[in-house]
Amino acid sequence: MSALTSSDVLRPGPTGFKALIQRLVMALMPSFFTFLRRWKPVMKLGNNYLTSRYDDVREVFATDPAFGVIYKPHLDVIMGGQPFFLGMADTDQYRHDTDAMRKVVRPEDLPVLAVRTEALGEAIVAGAGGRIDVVDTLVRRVTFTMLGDYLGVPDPPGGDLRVWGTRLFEFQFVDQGNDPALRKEVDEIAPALRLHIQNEIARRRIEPGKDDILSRCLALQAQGDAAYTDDFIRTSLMGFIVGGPPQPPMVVPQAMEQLLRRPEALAEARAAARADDDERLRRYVLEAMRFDPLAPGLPRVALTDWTLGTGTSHAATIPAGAQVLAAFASAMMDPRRVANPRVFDPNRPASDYMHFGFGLHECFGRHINAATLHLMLKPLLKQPNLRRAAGKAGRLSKNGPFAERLVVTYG
Amino acid sequence: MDQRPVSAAPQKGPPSWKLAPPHDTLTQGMVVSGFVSLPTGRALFLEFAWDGVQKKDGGAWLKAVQDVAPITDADGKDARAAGIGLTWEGMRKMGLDASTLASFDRPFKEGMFQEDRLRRLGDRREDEWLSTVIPGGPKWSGNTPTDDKWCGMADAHAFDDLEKVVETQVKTPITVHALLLLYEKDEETAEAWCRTVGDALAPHQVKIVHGLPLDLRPDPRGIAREHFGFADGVSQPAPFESKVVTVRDGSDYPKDYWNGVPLGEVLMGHENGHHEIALGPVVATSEAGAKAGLLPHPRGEGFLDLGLDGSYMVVRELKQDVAAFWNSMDAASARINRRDPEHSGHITADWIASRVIGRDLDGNLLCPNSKTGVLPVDKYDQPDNDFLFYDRDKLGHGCPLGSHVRRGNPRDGLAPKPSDKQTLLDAANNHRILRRGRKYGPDILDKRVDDGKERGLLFICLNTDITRQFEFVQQTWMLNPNFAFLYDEVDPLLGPKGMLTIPEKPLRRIIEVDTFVQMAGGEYFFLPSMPAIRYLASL
Amino acid sequence: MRQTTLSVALEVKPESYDHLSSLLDKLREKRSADPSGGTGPFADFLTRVPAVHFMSLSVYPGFDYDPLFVIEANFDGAPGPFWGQLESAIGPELRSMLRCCKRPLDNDGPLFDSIAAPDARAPIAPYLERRSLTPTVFHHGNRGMTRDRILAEHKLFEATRVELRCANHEGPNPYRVLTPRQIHAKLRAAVHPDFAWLDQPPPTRIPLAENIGDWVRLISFIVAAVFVLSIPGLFLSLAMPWERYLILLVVVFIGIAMLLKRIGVALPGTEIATKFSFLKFFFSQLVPLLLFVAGYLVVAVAIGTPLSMLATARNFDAAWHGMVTWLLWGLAGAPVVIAGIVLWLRVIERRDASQDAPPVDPVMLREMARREDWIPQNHMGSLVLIKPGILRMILIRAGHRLLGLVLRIQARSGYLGSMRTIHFAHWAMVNNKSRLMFFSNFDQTWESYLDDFIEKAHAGLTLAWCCGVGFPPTRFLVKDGASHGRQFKEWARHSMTVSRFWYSAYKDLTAEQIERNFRIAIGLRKRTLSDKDAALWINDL
Repeated sequence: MSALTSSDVLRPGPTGFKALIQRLVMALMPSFFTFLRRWKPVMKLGNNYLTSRYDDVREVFATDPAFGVIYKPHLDVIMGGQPFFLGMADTDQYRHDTDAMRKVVRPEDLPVLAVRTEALGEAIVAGAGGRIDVVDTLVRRVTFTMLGDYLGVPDPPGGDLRVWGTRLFEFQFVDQGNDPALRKEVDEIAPALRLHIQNEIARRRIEPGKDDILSRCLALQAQGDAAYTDDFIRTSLMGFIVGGPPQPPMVVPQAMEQLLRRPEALAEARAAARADDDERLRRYVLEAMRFDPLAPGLPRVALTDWTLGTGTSHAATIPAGAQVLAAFASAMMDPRRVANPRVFDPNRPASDYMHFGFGLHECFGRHINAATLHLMLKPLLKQPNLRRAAGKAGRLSKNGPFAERLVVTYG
Repeated sequence: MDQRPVSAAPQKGPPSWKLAPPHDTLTQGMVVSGFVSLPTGRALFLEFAWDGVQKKDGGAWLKAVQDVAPITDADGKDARAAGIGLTWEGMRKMGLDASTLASFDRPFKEGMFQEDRLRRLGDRREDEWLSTVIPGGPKWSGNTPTDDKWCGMADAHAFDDLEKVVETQVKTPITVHALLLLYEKDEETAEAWCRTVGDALAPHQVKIVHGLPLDLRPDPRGIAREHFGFADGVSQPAPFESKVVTVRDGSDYPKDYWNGVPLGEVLMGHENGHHEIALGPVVATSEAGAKAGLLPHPRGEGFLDLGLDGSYMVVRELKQDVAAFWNSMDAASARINRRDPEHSGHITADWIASRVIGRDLDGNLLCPNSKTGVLPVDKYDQPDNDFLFYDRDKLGHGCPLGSHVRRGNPRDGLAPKPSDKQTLLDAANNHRILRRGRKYGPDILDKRVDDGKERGLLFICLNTDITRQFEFVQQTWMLNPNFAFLYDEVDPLLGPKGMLTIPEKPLRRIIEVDTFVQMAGGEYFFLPSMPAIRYLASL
Repeated sequence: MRQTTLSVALEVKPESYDHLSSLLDKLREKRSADPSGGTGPFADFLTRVPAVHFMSLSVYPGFDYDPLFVIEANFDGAPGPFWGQLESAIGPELRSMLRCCKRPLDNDGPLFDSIAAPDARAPIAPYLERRSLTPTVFHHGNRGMTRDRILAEHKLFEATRVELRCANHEGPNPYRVLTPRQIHAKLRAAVHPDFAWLDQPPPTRIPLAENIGDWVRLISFIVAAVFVLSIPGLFLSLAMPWERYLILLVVVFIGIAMLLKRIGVALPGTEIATKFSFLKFFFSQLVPLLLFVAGYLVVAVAIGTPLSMLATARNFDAAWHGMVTWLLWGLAGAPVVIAGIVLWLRVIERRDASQDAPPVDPVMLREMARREDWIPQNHMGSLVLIKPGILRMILIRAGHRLLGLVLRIQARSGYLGSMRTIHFAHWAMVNNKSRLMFFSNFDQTWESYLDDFIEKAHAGLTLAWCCGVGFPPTRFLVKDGASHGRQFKEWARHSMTVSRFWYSAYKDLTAEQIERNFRIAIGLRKRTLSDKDAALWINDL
């Protein structure tokens, strides 16, 4: 079966002993980082460096001239060689491109997106008949529908945007070992998605239709704004599809799992949902995510020799060319900067969170996330008698870094 | 000469205090007396209409005043009396030299209308006059100039990029350089006297820019009432200093346990409540100074003591709205009657008004567990002033914690525990002022109907440390929103529209009170001693 | 809940002094026109730095030293998270302020470079952490009250006021016909829906571990002090027969006492009558003192006996006995040592130069006045030189240590003497312990605050501050001193600097009001009150 028509969002995960090991590693990760923070804040593993303390992670993110992103090679495969700002350093083009995108992705859209998200979620929850898989049925569908619609990128003919986007995401951000099977799929999907978006651009140029990011770009293009070339529009939309919607289906179910583990917090979050106190609910979901964030960390590459924590007792020099993992999950658990990190506290200040990175490449969609993530769970949290489904299905299972299934029942 | 309130008939009170020689002839009479036997008075606000500073003869006008209205000293009763105070800017214009001007106390030099001071006194905030000031801002003040060197003109230096803040000069339409107070037996003589004074001042280009008819008419019991109808000036500090403050027979005036303050709280050059000699201004030794009778300064070699036996006089013209006061009391009692029909039979406008003041209309202190609800009169048939709060009325069930008299002098009432009573009483007595104010304007016919006439109180008080005494009372007691553990309420009489808590069992009442008193002008004056007047007249 | 008070004092490049001042001014203006906190333009500070109660940034001009930039912070919890929060709120501004400071010449130089170099991006929190000073004495007026609790309980207070005022708005007020107990029940029922936390047990303000820690530190200090004071006696009693030792003690003691009597009186013109009396104080503290001495004996015997058994090979009985005797002889010498120290101190005090008229810069004074009295709270920061001499040095350090430990026990209710107007205050030594810095966040005006000290707590204040150069004449560390009202006030103003940036998380609340809100909340947390308790509780409403 071609990757283009596949309906499996996630590729089959490891089984048996390998799966067991993978789960074990995941389970031991927090303790491992606790150990590292205390005894080896900057740990060398071959040409890789692990940084686990809040200050160091922040320094890596903040010092973009010394720590560059490593996304470019894979991005080039996905974008067909077109530059996308995720892969750039702090250059003029970076600023030019992000500014251009900020012109069309506007703050005033957020309330609209919030309403859409909640409505979509409500419809799905109402139609699920008292039993729902939070990962696929709820969050993934809400995210892709809402964002696809917002960006102006519908499902490709005969394909599924969820599958395409997630597969490309895996290639871009997860695939460290350059899995040839995955590469094969990507080589099919990437050009197809490019073509799909290019076709949409052509179609919408003639028939602008509803207001979305694509139509806004085209309107600016029509006004003669040189920034909005077809290549730029296509690459940006593609970048958003690859980088954006695959993520909520990971973090939101993970947050749900964390809430389910904490009956008191869950009860308070549900009370906030029922009271329509969205700001309060947002804090609960954000805090729940802190216990199981998107990934242990984000990679960077040292562009020059750089000493992390200069002048402190754990100062460590990272040679140019080395890869650095800025473990933001560990940073958010660092008691040196985060008060009582093991305590679930929805009233934390913004500085306790690093979910969306920090500095130059801080998540472009962080405002959309802040406006919508909690609302994906809200319709579910409002349901009476919400509980885990019986058996294994009721516990969050993961496939590599991806959340795979979490079934809950209600009513 | 009485230490008692200006309202108390002298023959009825307890032994009064006087100053022993030589201080009695060195001090202005209004320090020791409110001139109760002279019921009519005039406050004449003078402006020196000269261009710039007088090079010579700056004191000529004062000589002229001395001829027609000699300033009264403190050595006995006179047929009529006069007192005088000068502003800093007034003395500067008279040609007093810069180093002498610099030797005055900071608040006096800056004037009452310095912008930060106005904020502390509750008059003005962020360039806006508050509701406790007459609409449009006060009519008069000393218009003390802001000192340029203090407001951003500091000498330039290298590496200086600080933003310079220019202080706002708060100005009033009328500028007052001196205040002349005249006391007479009746209206006609007073009027004639004012004309004489005016005629004498005219040749010196000193103008009477504002005048107020002052009034003090005690009833047969010796109670004088302010316009709202309450006995005024009941509680006064009683100064003491061995061999200087005496009773009639010449023996030392004993320290009053409740109201005693060292003389230095009232007169410069004497020991004050903080165990120091109250600071006063100095002039370089000169023939004129010696001739005027100024004594050598005890610490400054080569200087004469210009302050000894002088004082600072705080003056505020407070306009009273009698109808607003009583209508507000009516409204408050009506509300209580509506909200608490079962337990409010006794609550009338008078009842509430007494809680605002803390005394009944005759000046008797409200107290709990008393049949009459007030403290019985003393052996002289006067409102008893020898009381403390802590033991009798700690929680204010009689005299509310936020009432005017408790805020004006909390005595030992702020003590957190019994062992602190004495400390708190002593501390409170370090913040007393000697009041010499009188009311102005006609009495109102119907106290509930506004007749549109101007009336009020010309608040006058004497103290030597304006910051620690007058300003402290105004800021830390009167207008402190957290006084005595209260929250968000200030003096119900002087403050703006707000709340007043009336402690009661089982549950306190909180009433709303309006703005009744508005400041129409004010300034700090130097109240010179008799030799200092002679010296200033010789300028 | 643990609360931290600390300050960071950094030397400023003199050329950057004015620039730093203007940076501080700008920071304040950026957030608010007047130095208040809590709502409005400060709201982001309130949410982004939730730990902080009071914070100030000020620069002391340089006279004897180069200018000094001081960050004073009082917050909940440990310093680490606070610095992280602060950096996220005003990191860039702080960094540009730090660039105005001198590079430290010690080992912190590289760390400073990493945060202050042009385009430096390393977190500044580690540097601030490294340069933090521990206060020698500190005081918390509302000990153990977290900021969030203070704010929450005040909201509750306001809700009770609204309910009591507005219940059954048009008709009779239902509360006026109820008994105290019923009032409590009705009020609780009315506010409960909005204050679900009323059902939770109140957090302990002083946890047991902290309480034990306070006592252990105090006891250890006194036991150590007793030991140090008895050292001369311990040696002398070994060196001579006990009869001679005894005679020596008595003779020396009488000699010192006679000398003290002669020079113990105040210098002419500096005496101030005070209720404080050493004898009264001594007798009032006699029982605890004897307990402490007994405690010392127990500890010393427990440690000394095995040691002496090892050293002299005596059996347990003999060693124990000998040890007690020896220690008692040592203790007998302690009063003589104390008397000697007092005599020495008095000799120094008599020669001390006090400054009768400290110069006060009118420009600074005006800048201070411009920022004072906007809200019911005010702030002061002061910096004074410390008097020289070895005895002074020992007395300051020991005195501050003792004062700090005693305050932790004695001033738990927030009262210093008869006043509870301080939220957070502390002393700290800077410039290699040659200067003493004082910070206070207090209620009411500066004048009333100093008057309170002069009139109500002069002994404690004199003890803490008499080591400052120019302080008014003092007797035996606690007498006279701060009672010289005006002189002391001028001295204090002279030592102060402008509080250019000052933040308060609850600008309308006095320390007393916070306690009042606390009492009201404690009452409302209880489901029912007896009539007697309710009647007392109602006084606070």
